Amino acid sequence: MESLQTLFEAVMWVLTPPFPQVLLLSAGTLIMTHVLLKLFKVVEPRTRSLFYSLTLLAPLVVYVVYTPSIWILRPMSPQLFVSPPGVTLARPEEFAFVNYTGILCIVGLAFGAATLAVSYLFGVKIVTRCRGIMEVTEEDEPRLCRLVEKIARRIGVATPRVGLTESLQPNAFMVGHGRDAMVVFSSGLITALNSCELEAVAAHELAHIKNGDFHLMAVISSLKVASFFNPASYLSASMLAREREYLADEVGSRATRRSNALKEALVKIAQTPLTQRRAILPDLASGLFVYSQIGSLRAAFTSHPSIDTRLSRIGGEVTKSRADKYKVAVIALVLLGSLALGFNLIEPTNLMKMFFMLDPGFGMQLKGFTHLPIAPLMRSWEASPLPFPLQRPGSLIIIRIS
Amino acid sequence: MSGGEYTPSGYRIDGKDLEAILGPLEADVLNAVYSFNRSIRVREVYEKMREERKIAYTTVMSTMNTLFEKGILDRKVINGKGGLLYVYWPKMSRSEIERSAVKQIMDSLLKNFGETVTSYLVDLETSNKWKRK
Repeated sequence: MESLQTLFEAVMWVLTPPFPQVLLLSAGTLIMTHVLLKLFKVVEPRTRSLFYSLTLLAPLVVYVVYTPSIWILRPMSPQLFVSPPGVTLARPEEFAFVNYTGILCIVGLAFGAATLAVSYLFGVKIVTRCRGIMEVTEEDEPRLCRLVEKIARRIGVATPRVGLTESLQPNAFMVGHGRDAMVVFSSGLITALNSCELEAVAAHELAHIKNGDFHLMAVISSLKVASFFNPASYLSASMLAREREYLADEVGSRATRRSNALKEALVKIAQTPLTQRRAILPDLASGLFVYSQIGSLRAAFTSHPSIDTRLSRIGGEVTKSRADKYKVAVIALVLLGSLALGFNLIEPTNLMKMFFMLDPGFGMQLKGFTHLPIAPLMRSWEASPLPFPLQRPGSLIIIRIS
Repeated sequence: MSGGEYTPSGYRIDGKDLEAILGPLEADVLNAVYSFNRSIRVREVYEKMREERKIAYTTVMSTMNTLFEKGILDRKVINGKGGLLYVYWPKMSRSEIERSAVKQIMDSLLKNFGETVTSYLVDLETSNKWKRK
């Protein structure tokens, strides 16, 4: 009996707003986005990535309607109140409970904001320390630094700093932004690739700077942290990251005209037999502040597209096609329309609230219960407006609180 | 240390110490490795050498790889800060390298110029005896 009650309570907390709304709206956005992009055959990575970012923004929309709170007031039992309109009723007997799912949402938001701030302020320093990166200058590594400088000029970005790691795993990544931006190469990559392939990989990394991926991915990463309890956010973030990789492949190989070299480099990276034991701190730092790791794509390929898919996209016909702006507009409209409808289905009164509560003369408002606190928390009560205009001022209004 | 064999690829008459049998860069890297007295990463050797001269990390890395291929250093893969990386340690002590190199060089000289080498050694020994008297 006790376990049944615990189960009931757990279900009750899961169903407490805004938790179910966040989960359902995010999942709905992700599925709709994926289906629409497939249906309209949008292949352009920039457009696709922006659509995938909507899934991560969905929880914020939910929070605007359902502000997450630490406490929640629950009535002792379903109660029925009958009153003429505009008359203050006695406050129903209720208790304040800790809103566990609300706390999850608040903690997520706090951590998300902190991640964004740390990413901009200390991201480079943290990654440099955790991954043992050595910054090198033209004096230390003339060949590598000149190569990066040449590619940066060709792509049209300011030359970033260059870093090296001792890792034997062939890998390269970009960290930081603006003057702090650093392209990091592993010693395994330098050993494994010839100079053409190294140039192609450097171009891929610098294309991330050109595409403004740091800013986009910093926001996406913090949104992912904000919805850390939401599986849809992880999935959409990884789908978005993959699209940005495709875009970087495209921009980088177009700038260097070395699409074959990039393909060869990717094959070499994918074929490296080394398997790495996971280390918590460097993995966490990389997960939060490193947004492009050419070496980590190999892992993504095992569960998502095969390496052949990516290789076929580099310099192929797929990357040359551009998303039609009308097509994008139609997708956006259909997506937003169906999400608004879906949201309305999740909680039918809320859209009405959003639109109709703007008019204070419309419907009924019951305020003033806050003067009669019987629970530790004070709260003002607002009844939902009626979906129809009042016929007679003296009519009775029935509110059921459950 | 294992006391393995080292066969030098050449001998530089103007070279000093290990430089005569290894080449200047390899000798410098090996001296840096010996100075640590423990297994070390490429980065540590690079940072030590950077205190004394300009050198690229990739140069140190490839030199240590060469020393490994020559059988002077040994290495293993560990999971370090940046991921999987090599740590190196000397497979042979300095005296073992010297002994092995001298043996190889002398064997080669005796094989090719046996009589000349023998007479030179005899002359050398005789002149040393005179000096001692």
